[in-house]
Amino acid sequence: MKIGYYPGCSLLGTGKEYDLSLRKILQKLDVELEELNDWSCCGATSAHATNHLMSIALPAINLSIAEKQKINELFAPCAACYNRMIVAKHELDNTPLLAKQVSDLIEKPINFAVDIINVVELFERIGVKKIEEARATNLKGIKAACYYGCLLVRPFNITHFDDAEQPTSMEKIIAATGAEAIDWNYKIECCGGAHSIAHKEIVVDLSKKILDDAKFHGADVVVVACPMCHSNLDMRQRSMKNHQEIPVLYLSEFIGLALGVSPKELGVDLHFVSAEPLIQKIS
Amino acid sequence: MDDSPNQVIRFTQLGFDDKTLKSKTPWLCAGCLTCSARCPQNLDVAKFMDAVRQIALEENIEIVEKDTVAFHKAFLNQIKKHGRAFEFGLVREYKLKTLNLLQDIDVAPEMLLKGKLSLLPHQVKDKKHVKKIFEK
Repeated sequence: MKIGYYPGCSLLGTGKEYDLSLRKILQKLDVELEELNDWSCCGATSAHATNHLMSIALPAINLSIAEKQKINELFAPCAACYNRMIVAKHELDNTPLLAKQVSDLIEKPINFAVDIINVVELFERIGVKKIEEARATNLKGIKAACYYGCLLVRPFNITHFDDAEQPTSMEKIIAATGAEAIDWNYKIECCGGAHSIAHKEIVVDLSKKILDDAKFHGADVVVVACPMCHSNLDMRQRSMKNHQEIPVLYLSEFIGLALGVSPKELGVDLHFVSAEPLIQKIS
Repeated sequence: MDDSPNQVIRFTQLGFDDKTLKSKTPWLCAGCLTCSARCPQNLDVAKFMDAVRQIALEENIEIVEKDTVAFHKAFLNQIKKHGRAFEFGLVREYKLKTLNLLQDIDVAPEMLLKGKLSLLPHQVKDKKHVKKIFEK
């Protein structure tokens, strides 16, 4: 399988282990990534929080690059990039006046056929069977809390992904590793997102509630699908009071462990909270 | 948060635009879209908050949540300059603007060591259209 790839800015910096682990395991699962040439930022929270036209025009640049490269399906591993791209495409498809404005700005026709795919959808396409076949280590006995956050499932009328309130698609993929996906209450709650710098206290509070619920339900690890969520749930554990640490892994890292890839090759050592207790439990 | 989201919407319905635009609430909205997903009146509350922030900036309203504004501006300035987000540049600009100089000095050195905080930005080659969007 070959698919277009938009890594997004975080995957070159704070979320570099997400890129590292994806490339490593997708190779094993026979997925070829075709990266967008000279892609630019999607605008993230800051664009849509302050300037609507900018929040649509920035993703449109990348959608037009995908079009030029004849990419039919574009995989955006970052939940925020995925969301901005899919929302931009939806608004451009349904608002001719906006499409005209954006077309004038980026000097490209607006008629994008490309489908935007998130990380869970990518693994769904690869298939549980394929992951099971490629499995080198059974993660039986590990309890994982699958965390979706906000931007995979909302706005549901645009993403049409899984279920807006009770998504379960990540749990099905996790089952292919042999691990048990626990039932818990905070899988679609917000971690505080981009407030991490200007309002760190909000992020620490919200993220702690998520981690506490995962621990309360017996999780050994929280599995995430977004670099922003990862940095809030992992790095901000340093600032949590009366807190017992719990490792936070990207979905690609967790699957990678089941495929027998070493934690170092997956970049698990780049986290702030050590995953050592989890790795000990596996081996 | 000084006003609840429904209060901010009520201000607008009653014509108190000034109260809406001066409220801290839109600036503390993280854009998680939970309210938009669950609103029984089917109102896209998060999108409403996006619009309030944009109008407040356009009309030069004095915004109480200065740090949040500084963050967004510093973030967007990196895209304007490099075409991509640049975390080191963002934090540098944000700290100089807000004088929150000591924030995150507990995690920053470790991020540098882990190679998660690059000192040099990734530059997009063709920045023409990104620049045009910012000039608009």
